[in-house]
Amino acid sequence: MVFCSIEFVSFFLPLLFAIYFVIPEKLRGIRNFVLLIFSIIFYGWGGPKFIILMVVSVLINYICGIFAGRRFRKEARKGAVFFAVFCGIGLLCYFKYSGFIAEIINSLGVVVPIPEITLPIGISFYTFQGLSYVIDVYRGQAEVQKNPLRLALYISLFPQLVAGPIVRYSTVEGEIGKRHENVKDFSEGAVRFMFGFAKKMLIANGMGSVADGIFIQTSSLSASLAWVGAIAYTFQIYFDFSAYSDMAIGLGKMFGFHFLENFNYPYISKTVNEFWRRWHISLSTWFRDYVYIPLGGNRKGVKRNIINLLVVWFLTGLWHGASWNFIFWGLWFFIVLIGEKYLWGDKLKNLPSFVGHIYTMFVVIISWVLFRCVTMSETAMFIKAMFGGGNGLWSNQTLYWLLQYRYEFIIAFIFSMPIKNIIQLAFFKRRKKAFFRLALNWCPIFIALVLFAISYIELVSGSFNPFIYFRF
Amino acid sequence: MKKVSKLFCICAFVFFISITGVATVFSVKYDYSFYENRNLAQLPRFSKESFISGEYFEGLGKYLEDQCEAREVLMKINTFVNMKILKRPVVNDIVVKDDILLPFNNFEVVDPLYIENKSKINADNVSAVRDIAESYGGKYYYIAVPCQYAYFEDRYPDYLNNRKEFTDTELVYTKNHMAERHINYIDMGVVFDKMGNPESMWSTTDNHYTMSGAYTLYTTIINAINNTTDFNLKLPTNIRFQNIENPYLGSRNRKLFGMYDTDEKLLYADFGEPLSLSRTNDGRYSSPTVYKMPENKNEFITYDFYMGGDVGETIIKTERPDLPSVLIYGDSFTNPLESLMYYSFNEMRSLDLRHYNDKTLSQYILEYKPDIVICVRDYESMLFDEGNGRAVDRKYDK
Repeated sequence: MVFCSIEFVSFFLPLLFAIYFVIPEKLRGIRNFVLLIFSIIFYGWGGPKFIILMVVSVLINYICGIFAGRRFRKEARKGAVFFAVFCGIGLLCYFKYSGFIAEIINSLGVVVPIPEITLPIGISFYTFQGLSYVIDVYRGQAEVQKNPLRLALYISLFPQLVAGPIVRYSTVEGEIGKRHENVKDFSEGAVRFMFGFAKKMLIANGMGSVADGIFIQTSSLSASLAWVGAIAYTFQIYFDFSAYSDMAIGLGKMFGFHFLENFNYPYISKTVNEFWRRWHISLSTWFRDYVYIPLGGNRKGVKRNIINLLVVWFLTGLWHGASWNFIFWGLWFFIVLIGEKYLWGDKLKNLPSFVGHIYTMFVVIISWVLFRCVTMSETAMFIKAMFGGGNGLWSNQTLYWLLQYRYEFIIAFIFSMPIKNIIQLAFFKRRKKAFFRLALNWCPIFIALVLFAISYIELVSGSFNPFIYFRF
Repeated sequence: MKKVSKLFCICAFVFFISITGVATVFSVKYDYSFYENRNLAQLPRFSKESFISGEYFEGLGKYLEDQCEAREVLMKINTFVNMKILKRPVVNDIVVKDDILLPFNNFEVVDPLYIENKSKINADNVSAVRDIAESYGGKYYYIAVPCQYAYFEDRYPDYLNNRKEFTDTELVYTKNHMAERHINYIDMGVVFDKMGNPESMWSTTDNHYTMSGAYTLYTTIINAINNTTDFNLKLPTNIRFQNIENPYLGSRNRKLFGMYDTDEKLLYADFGEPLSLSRTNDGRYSSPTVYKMPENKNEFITYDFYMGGDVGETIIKTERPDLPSVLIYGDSFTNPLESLMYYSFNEMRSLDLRHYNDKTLSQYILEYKPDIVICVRDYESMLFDEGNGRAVDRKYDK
């Protein structure tokens, strides 16, 4: 099920609210059980067969979590972590990468059949969540969860189940057993959810139409068209993915969970390093804490640091998808980040900030072309077209996309900057005046409700409406 | 104050999501969407297989999307906003201009080799039908008619695809392949070009020609038959065209939910002389008319006004045994043509192979042996090998 669907908005959510909140708060176990059942329904909506896989994943992490606890010997604890990593990554490899691996083997001249395996939705996200639990328990950063239902709820909790953010067990450990749903959180969660819904329906989908329409014509692109397509996709992926995170965080809040932020206006960054501190924060911190630092981080010299970064960025690319494009996407960031760290980073700091913005956005836009294209040859053609090596510099078609989606482009540009924060802060500073106090209270609510209603109209008017981040 | 605003927010949000669900559950369910001209999704049938594969849930999602309460009103609002307020050049895949609605054509890279291959296959298929007709002494004519995007190709803004390159390529290959096979081929685009492409020939809100365009086609065909056979077919001499005053909803206009201002009217032909006819539709007797007259002056009419829309098989008999018989096959472009064509023939049969499924085209022709066989195809669908473009011995395959 997806958040931006009639079945979710008009049926799943109201029904869950009705059942969940009718149960007294003190019966936490029953409330959790309701949330678990609804999370399973949410996950099983697209095909219940993969529920079994998720249950298996929960069981493995549950058992390994117990053996990773302090009451066992170090070898047993290490073994439990190793087993959890082996099983988790093994399942991920089987479902996500076996076809890709078979293709590579075939390209080396050894003929093996290419398996046709359906990728279970959200497997990358819940695998990483499960591993974070076992590793945190091993490290003593989290307590062993003895109740399997609670662990199942953590892993399968529907707001972040299929497209993140990757919630660390330590973040919600306390809240699973003891949390207090309240009017403030519910209201703030609802506002956040409605804004996320609007971001997806009113901006991301429009930008997606532009990107889809242009990326399909890779072989005949003019430079202007290629840039419009690349910029549209840059906006689409941000507004799509951050919208999902907004909705996830908002939904979590309505049920008393406080997930960490996943985005912080990444497109205002002045360096690529800064970009990665603002983009998909839950994934980059996951790799930092569970791969980069255990490998030695930057503590073992320059050479080792470069190797560690290479491993991290190779894995980050691979995590996003089983294709060379994603690997090269990861390696592209590896090269740029190494360059920033050891070559041009200091010089960049001394330049005017707009140069940093332009440089960062250039790197990011090129990276999204790598990310969006299906094959490397397509990517090469697209990038060539961006620099005038395609079908000329200008084509009239460019005008169509700009005219047809002019509002979306303008809104996307404005709201990829922290305008909301600036306005909110300005009002907050003047909160002693009644008008500003009133506006601070009511404006977000009214704007969210109006946008939600408009988005609902858009939802009903639209047809197929998938979230692009589901394939990970 | 803070608490009031938060409570208000919760109530409004929960009320909104709940009311949309409850209203959908109790709403009247429809089979068909008039404005979209398509069948709406129905409640999927539950089975173990569909449940496990996820097909059931997918169907349920589509059902809820199609049957949700106030869907039509919400789509109308969305269309209104896009068309009148945001003034997007393309709304619901329709190019909206002040005086015309045109189809939005996806941007494409024209592949001449592909088009040549398709037009060769088409010409081979057409020549096979021609051979069947000629095997018993019949005559065959293949008519290519422009579709709206081709007729009004110069009305597209420069930044949109009017498919000129595709159309030009397709017509060159089609003409050559038809000539190589000695098929009686008439390209109505050339005829209309010679007339200066008058706007009155084509609907500005629908894919089809108007009654005037159909009449031009009718006279062109009759003249071509008279020039190539011994038949001396008559054309009506006192024909008069009359307006139907009812508001006309062209198919594009329907998609814009009747909010696009146009005074376009449908015409019908009055032959000026009595001509009795009998008619059957798919083997059943039908009222002996060729126009679906509206019941009152306010009723919307569509292109179905001509011949009552698409029918698998229509037979019209005029009981004038001295005149030949004709078979016309093709898509909805044949409908207004049929409402004129029966005038010149004793018996007129028409097939729409998208709906007709009793016999193959070859079986049908050999069984009834019409004196004249006419195929009418528009530029857009001319190279399709489905429906009316499918092979002569391939049966209807739904």
